[in-house]
Amino acid sequence: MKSMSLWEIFYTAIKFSSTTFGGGFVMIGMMKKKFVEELGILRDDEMMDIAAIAQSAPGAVTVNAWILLGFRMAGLTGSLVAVLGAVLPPVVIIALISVVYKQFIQSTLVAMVMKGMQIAVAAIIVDLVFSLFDSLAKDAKPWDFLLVVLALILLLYYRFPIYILLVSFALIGIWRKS
Amino acid sequence: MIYLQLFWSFIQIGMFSVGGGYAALPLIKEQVVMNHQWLSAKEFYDIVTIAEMTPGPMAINAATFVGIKIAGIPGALLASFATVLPSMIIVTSLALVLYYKRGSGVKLLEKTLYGLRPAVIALITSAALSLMEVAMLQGDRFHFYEMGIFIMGLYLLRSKKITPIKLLLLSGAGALIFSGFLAL
Repeated sequence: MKSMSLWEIFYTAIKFSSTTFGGGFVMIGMMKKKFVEELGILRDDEMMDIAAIAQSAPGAVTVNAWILLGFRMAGLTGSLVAVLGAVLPPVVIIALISVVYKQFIQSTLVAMVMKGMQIAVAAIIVDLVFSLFDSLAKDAKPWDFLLVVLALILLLYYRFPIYILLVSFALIGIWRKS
Repeated sequence: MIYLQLFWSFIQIGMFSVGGGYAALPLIKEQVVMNHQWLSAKEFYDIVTIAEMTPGPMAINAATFVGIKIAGIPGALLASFATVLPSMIIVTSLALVLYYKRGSGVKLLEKTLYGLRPAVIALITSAALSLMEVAMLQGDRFHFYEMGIFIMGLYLLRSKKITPIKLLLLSGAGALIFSGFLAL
């Protein structure tokens, strides 16, 4: 089984994590390119497993994917090194931004640009919501729609604590599939 | 005391953010804006926008920003650590199952995911609604140009498959030009 040294894992995680825009799914695509196609360290189905678990486990998809990849390369130490490399760049970048945030945000010019970008963020999420309902419409039963509506009502009108919502829906899922 | 609160809040965010960054938004808002008044709603949405423009997960960005504001660099490190700690424990256990024995654990995971799906869709929808409200409906004037940018953006995303980062840059520039016209 081919592998990678701890230093190489760390370095690759830092490099990917500081240059990958667009979230976890983009990161998984980049990993596949590098580790499956370029280096041939991982098989395609191994990468699929990593992608599936990273998306479904709690926490950020990027972080989860690096934990798994690090573990696959070099065990527990590998996963620790990979997490460190994945988390360090965003922490440093946001720390730097937060130093200048106050002055930055008070500039009217910046405020205008931020306003425009905020509208773009709204459009990006609404686009995602459309896609989610599209895919739900393809393979779901009427019950699934009712559950979405129920969860929305609980969230928006009753300000239901989110962890209780998630735990009860997980239990409903286990019950419905059993 | 403040460290303990930070740690506990971000442990919960790491633990219960399922379904990606956008589904985590209501959860982060609940902890950071509502339960503890660490950020104002405006600061929170600023951070969401900044997170969209920078690499890295939403929850880590929020943890760093809140941590620094509340308790300096140690606060940022602590909050970020708390955010990834649940992942490290849960995902490493899953890795052990994956690499050493497959089977019943995977079945249970599938059932749980099946159940979580409607809740995740609802969380993302609720994040979308509050972002639309913040971006377009605040204040008392009619938000003509905001709606214009929004509808244009949605059109570009859905029909032209423009990448999010391009749309961000385009909307930023668009807003600048529009407000320039309004100021004349």
